[in-house]
Amino acid sequence: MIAGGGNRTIDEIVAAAAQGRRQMLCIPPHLALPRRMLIQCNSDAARSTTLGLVASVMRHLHAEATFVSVQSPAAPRSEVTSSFRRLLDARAELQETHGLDIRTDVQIGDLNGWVAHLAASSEPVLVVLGLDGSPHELEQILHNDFQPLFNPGGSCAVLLSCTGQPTAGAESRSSGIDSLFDSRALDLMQRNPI
Amino acid sequence: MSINFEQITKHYNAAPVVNDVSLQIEAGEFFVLLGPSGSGKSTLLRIAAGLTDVDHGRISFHGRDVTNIRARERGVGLVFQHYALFRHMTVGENVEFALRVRGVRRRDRARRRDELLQLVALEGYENRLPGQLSGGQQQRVAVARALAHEPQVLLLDEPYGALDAKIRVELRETIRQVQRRLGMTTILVTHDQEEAFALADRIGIMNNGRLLETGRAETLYRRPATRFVATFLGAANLFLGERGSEGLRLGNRFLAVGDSLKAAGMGNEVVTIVRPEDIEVAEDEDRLRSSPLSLGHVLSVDFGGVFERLRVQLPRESEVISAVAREHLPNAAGSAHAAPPVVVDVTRTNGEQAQLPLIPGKRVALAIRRFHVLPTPISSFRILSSDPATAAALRQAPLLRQLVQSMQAPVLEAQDKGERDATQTGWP
Repeated sequence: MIAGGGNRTIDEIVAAAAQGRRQMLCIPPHLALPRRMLIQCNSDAARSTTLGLVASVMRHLHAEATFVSVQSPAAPRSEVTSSFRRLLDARAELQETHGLDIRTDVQIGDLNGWVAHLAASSEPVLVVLGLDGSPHELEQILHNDFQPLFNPGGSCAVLLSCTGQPTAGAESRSSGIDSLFDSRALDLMQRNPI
Repeated sequence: MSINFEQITKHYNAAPVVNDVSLQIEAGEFFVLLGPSGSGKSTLLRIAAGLTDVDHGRISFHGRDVTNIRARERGVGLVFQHYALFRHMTVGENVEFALRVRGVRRRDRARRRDELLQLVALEGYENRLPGQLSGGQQQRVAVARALAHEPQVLLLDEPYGALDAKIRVELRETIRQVQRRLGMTTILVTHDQEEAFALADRIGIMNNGRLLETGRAETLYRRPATRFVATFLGAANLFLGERGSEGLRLGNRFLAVGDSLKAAGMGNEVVTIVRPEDIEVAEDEDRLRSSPLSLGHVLSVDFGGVFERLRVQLPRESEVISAVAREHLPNAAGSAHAAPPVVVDVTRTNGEQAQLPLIPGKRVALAIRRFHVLPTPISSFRILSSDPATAAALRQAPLLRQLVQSMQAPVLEAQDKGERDATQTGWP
């Protein structure tokens, strides 16, 4: 566990990851008890362990849990449907393996925008990040994509679940059904980005 | 009639009191919702009855969405802890009430009333007023009244809570018999574990608005998935164990293999559940028949009827570590922290007591007959900060306090004994 909301938080996370730590909780000490828990996972490889961790925490917090996928409005249709499918797979896995249910949410926009939106909110939130990658890759991901969550005075606690393994090229993709969703609904969502 | 809850959520004052509960109850099943006060179980039952609306989710009876259907139109029978009988009506009139408002003819009402009073063993009481009946009899009238309109679903909210022990047992036998005979899908809400074990086909355990686990009583008792369920369903000793290629190690003596080790979360530090009745006690290690855990000395002996309860303190040299949150005590140096000695709960049968009578202070050897490893990735919390002020602030953080309190997980310093192998240990 690491004190969040400091200038060196990411460095401390990376140092802990380099020592082999795989789950880290960063809490700004002043943070009130979160009533919302948002889960974001950057790969299928990180999903199972992240869901195990999520299940453990969900059982002990009076908080609504939502598995979030952030989808670029410019993404090709196959990627969007694949993203939907991964959310449903995550929900199914949580039900099957841990007996718990979870909300799912597709945010249309870019990841940095979503993170900035979260970091700017005054509502305390627990953000769970399931990240694939070596400690070096973790450092890059945290700096590039999630830096605002660790800013001083922030309202986010961050729970990290890292595989610690270097990513094997492209993120694994679900195969198969690409036309699972109504294209009109998809167009509507893409016209209303976050 | 099957009942399906899908992501049911209900808030009070912005906090979810029922939180994304999904559950399928089969037709004819006797399902018990078990949990402490405030866990959300009664709210979920009221949602099933249509007495409380939902903020999110859907409920269906036999595939039919009833989320927005009024209570009266759902066709469920309801029994509450406080009998809710009409005091000015006789027993017979109370039972007939639901039929009268539905326009059932007098002769049919009387026939049904007599059937139901026979079913709950109250024949001949139809002309009495509720005030002339005992608590158990009044509750049986409430059951008969709930069944009058032949519901396919029976919902029971702590119906035995106001009754004394003997009457409670009688009434629950009555309800179980009636439920079996009529084949009604039944949900019972209770905080009483014994009641749940006696009645349920399946049990769902709730806490903090979440449905934590569902399953048959024996499975939940023997192979719980969470600390909460392990400790809510009877007494349990929780140890931090070390998983290695040889199996599970507890302290410096106990080493064993078990199926549950495979399902445990990642990392080599695991939470091990040992029920008090699964601990063997002998005068010395040579007489143990199971895998030895440690020597210890008896702290207390309590007579408990069929069982005797012992508390046995293990010496620090055993290196057995409790997986339950505890206050760390400053050691002589004042800086580091030392864990208090581990105390183990043991229950023994009359036969075991006769073979080895024990008194406080006696030295004994303990062994483990059976254990279960929780499939949780969180065994303990460790504060990484070397700055005492930051570490102290983290200990007071509401999120950590909530998790530690609810999980009963220990908070360790990075240099504690529990820190065995940073490359695999689960939770820093």
